[in-house]
Amino acid sequence: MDALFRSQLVALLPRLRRFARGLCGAADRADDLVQAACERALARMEQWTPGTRLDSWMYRIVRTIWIDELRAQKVRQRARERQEGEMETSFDGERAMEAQMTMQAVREAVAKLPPEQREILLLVAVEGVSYKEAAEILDIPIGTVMSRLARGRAALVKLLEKPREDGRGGADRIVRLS
Amino acid sequence: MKTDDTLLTAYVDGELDAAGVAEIEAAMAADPALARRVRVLRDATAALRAAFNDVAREPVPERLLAPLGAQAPHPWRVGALRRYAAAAAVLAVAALGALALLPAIGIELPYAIVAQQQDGWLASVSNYHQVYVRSQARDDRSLVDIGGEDRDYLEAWFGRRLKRDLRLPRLEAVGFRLQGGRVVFVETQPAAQFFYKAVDGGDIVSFTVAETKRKDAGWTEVKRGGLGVIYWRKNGYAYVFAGAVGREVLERAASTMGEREEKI
Repeated sequence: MDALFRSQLVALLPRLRRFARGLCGAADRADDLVQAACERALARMEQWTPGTRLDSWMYRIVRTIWIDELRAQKVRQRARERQEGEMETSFDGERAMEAQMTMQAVREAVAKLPPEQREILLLVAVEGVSYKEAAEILDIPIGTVMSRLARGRAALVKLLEKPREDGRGGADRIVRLS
Repeated sequence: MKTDDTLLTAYVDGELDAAGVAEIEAAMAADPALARRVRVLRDATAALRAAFNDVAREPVPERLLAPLGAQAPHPWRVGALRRYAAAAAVLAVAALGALALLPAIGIELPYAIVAQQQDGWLASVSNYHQVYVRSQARDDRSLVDIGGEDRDYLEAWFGRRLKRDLRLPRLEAVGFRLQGGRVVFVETQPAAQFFYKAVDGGDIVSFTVAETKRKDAGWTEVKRGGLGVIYWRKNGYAYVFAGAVGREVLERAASTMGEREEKI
């Protein structure tokens, strides 16, 4: 049980890191979060029911610790400070750079969303969990899942629309949305 | 508009039932503004996914692996990961003008991670199998290092990788066709995993050859993570057939190999 649990956890690490990165913004904070979540999971291994979804259980732990830290009002400030220049630019070439900048713009937009919209958008749109699973992970009714997701995505769309230089807003967009 | 957005978002996320889908699509056909809104929501979702997907492709840092008793990837496996990252970059660039087309690739990569445990080698073989099956479901072919069109080339290429003579089982008689193969790591050793797809339908059977320091073992049938598995070990190599198929099918597949010298 122990060994199997650990190996399943290891297999989940890339996804947990991605989820945590979206929540925290900064890479080192995100890995701190994943590490804390793994430690908690190992300590509470017996609370996980084999046969149920380990990924949902882990997303829940990651999210709980993140919320705790948010409440302590530490994470948000640090994440903002470190936001710039955080993601490595490993791609070559000008157009790749452009793509990288586009992705950076999206990440920055996500960091500006309220926490409750950010976590649910990341879970559903990036991690691919169903509405039902998201409701269980976040412990909210499915109707709330739907309305938060709609608000979150609408907010994201707004953030990705770059105001024009003359301040009149509108046409120019960071991310080309149809 | 808010209510509409809730429904449209659920539509984009694939969370509506058939009746709901039909309703939205009819409404979209009648109202171009609605159709445009769906495209915008879909683009934003694709952009979001693209913005974070490369995190899941990064090598997992040692400090996260160590407490779980796992190891960092083999050095040249990291090279392979970079290749995936480069391919992802090309995709991202290609999709720049049409972010909506960004595929949801690379949710999980076959990290060269092996928990030190009794049964770990078999668990990783079946995990690799599952990762491939899921990638197939997304029509994502990047997980195959070499396609199955040229069996001789495939045998030679993986033979060199494993430093041994390699003969791939022929499963045509069982109704499966070779799709391709890739290098994976089992207990930190390079191994080759080959995939066969049912000619009639989507069933996938994998055949894995892995170097092993474990002692020889005869034909063994077990279940791992919803997969049927047949394996044996001989002379420092493990041979594994796996698939979510009937036991008899898997036995027939494994027999094509087992009739040769490796079977005990």
